[in-house]
Amino acid sequence: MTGFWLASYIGLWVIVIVLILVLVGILQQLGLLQRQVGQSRTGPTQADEVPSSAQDGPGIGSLLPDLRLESVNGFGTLTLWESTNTTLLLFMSPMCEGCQKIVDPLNEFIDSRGYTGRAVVILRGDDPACQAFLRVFPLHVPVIQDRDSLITQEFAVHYSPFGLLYDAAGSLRSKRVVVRNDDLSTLLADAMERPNALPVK
Amino acid sequence: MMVINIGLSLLLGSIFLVSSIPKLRHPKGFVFTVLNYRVLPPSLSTVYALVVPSLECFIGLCLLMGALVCVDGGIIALLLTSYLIAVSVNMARGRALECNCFGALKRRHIGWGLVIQDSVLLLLALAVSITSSDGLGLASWSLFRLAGLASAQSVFPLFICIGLILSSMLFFFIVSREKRKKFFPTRIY
Repeated sequence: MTGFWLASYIGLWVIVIVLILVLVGILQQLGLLQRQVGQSRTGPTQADEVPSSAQDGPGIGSLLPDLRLESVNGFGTLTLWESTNTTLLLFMSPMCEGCQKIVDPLNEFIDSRGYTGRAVVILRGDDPACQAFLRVFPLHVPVIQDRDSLITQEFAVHYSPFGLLYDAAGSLRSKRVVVRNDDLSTLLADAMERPNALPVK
Repeated sequence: MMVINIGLSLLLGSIFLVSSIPKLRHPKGFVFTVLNYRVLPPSLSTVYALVVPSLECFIGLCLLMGALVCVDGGIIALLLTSYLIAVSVNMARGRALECNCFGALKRRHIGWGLVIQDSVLLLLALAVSITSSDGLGLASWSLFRLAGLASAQSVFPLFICIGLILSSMLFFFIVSREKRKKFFPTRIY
């Protein structure tokens, strides 16, 4: 009888834990749905257009501004447009969970997958938040801090993480919200395969 | 009194267990949150952020199992006091931080609503400690005792709690290695 009780109680606890995990998963999905529905009601970009992000960011073919900016992670002063290579601008925000999760894949792409172009992260936030972000999520690319959201607004970016890929001529070739690893690899693979291609779309 | 103790234990246990899961799933995110609160020095913040999710999970499981109820209430009261200090300090600084109380499950900013919520939970945690009459052992209402599986002083349920936490951490570690992870974008202004 003791063995039966033991088995039944262990079984019950397993069920309880599984149900808690299921509940957490459902609540998370509901929260994400609610957020996306909220965005579709209030934001300029419709929720179902977020992955392609056709309305967010500058228009395809627009030119990269010739700005000189100071990086906050030891890469010194850099010019956004360099005529020799493609430039990936990645817009992030310290408190956005998607941005936190994309740091490791981005570093991995930059370190080991042979991306020879430039990648620059525009990090929108105040000093303490950006410092804490870079301490926990060290990036292997130059990071420009956007304290007053001026750069983010200049590029008309409303979502993060958001990627803009400029070709060697300084024209915007593609843009997208980086919703999954594939989005990042698509952006970077495009840059690696056709570094000097004319803008598409 | 026992009914109050059981009800409050199950309530607080569930809340802390649920709140610990997103933090265990994304530990670096919680380290960032604690650093961003800027209450402790960076090295202490990191230690705090690495310990708290496991502690919340352990306390939650212990309360649900009726183990060490008196101690659990005290630890929860200490945790809630630390949260209240962190929130109050940042409210005084005028910073609009995200609370990250339940990770990505529920997003909300720090404010008076959060202070009131944590204060109520703090009172409930103290009530759990005060109404517990079983000292450091298993509560008389614990399923393990009711089923005759463990005596009042048995440590067997504690090992179950530790085992469940280690299994969850391993599970979340494996899941986080999943390559096709989806990142949901956040509206930034």
